[in-house]
Amino acid sequence: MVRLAFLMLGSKQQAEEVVQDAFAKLLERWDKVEKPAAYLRSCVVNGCRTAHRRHILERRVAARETAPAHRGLEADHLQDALAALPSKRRAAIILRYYDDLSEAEIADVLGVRPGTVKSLVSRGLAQLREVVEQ
Amino acid sequence: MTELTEIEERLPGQLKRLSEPIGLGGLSRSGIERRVAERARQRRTRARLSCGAFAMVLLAAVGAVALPRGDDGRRVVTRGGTIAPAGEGIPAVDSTRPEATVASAVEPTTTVASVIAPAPSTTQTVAPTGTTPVSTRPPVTTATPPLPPKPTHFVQFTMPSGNIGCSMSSPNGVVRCDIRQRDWAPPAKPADCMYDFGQGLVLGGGGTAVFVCAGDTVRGVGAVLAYGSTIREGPFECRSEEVGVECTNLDTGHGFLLSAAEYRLF
Repeated sequence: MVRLAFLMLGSKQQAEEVVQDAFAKLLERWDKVEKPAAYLRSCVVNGCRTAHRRHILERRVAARETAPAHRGLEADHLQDALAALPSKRRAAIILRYYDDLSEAEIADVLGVRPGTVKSLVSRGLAQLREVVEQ
Repeated sequence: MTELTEIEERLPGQLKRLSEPIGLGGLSRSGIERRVAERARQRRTRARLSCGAFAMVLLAAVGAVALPRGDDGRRVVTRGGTIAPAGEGIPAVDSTRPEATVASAVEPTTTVASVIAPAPSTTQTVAPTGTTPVSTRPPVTTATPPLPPKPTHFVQFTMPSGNIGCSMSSPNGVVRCDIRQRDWAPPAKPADCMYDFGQGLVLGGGGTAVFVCAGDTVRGVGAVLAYGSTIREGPFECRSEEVGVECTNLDTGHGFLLSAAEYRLF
């Protein structure tokens, strides 16, 4: 979960805070939650999206300044490319290609329809492709 | 096998390599337990303040009943709120801002329980707790989720910008936030909504949040909830941020984000 949050936020400290909050919420609701893993993942993703919105301006500036030119999608530049994606697209890409979730599972985490997940992943990949081709 | 683009083929490996250096050194059981304890302390503090505020509301309600009627024959009704000393999650009420004051017996602020779009299945009139029903107002229309007939506790707050106001009720209640100025447009008003539509978002006990259909507003009443603060009532938790207010039903995970720039239902 910390690694998932790190991919969403790009900051280990923020990732740990978000995941710690998510675990705290799950602990409080343990008796009422039917699917703890899914609930935890939703809390982490939503917590990351909230944390990301707080720093959205800073990240846009950082992404512009550090965006590599004429370089492929190397791991060390992947973080910048991910940061440039809207939060929902970024979440869909990471849940699909890192967490290996199905479209239905991703739809459940993000609170959207499976068709929307397809669109988010497709547009996210297209945006990453633009970064690669720059 | 479906043909994958080069990016799709490389992404899983690159994401794993990117995240591999991240260990769990900063995350520990004791840290999580400390966080749980901190959240419990915040809830106890709010509960204590809510009890005090409830007593004030009760006194105000008694005063409201004893007040003479206005020229239009309507009584003044009041709703509960919470006030916290400065430095707590909810700053002390700024008495110089009339819109930020907790409803008082002399403040001509009337609110009817929130209604929810879309189409109503039943019609009911909701009477504020401890007050005379405002019989001159039209009956409110309800839809899924149904409103509690007699909410026992209300908490209201205002965002620091003054642009958004929220009301939370428990038990088995709802959380509703209304916005004054926004850069986005709500969906088309449903045909069966007989009141204003889209001035806010409301979340009940189950399902996703929906747009408000109501003839009233929950703005203008309630203490300011400072940015970075969280308030909890029953299963609902609302967080005040500069990017907007985010309210969640912790039992279901559903909620909404509301700001002038955007709204999001999840």
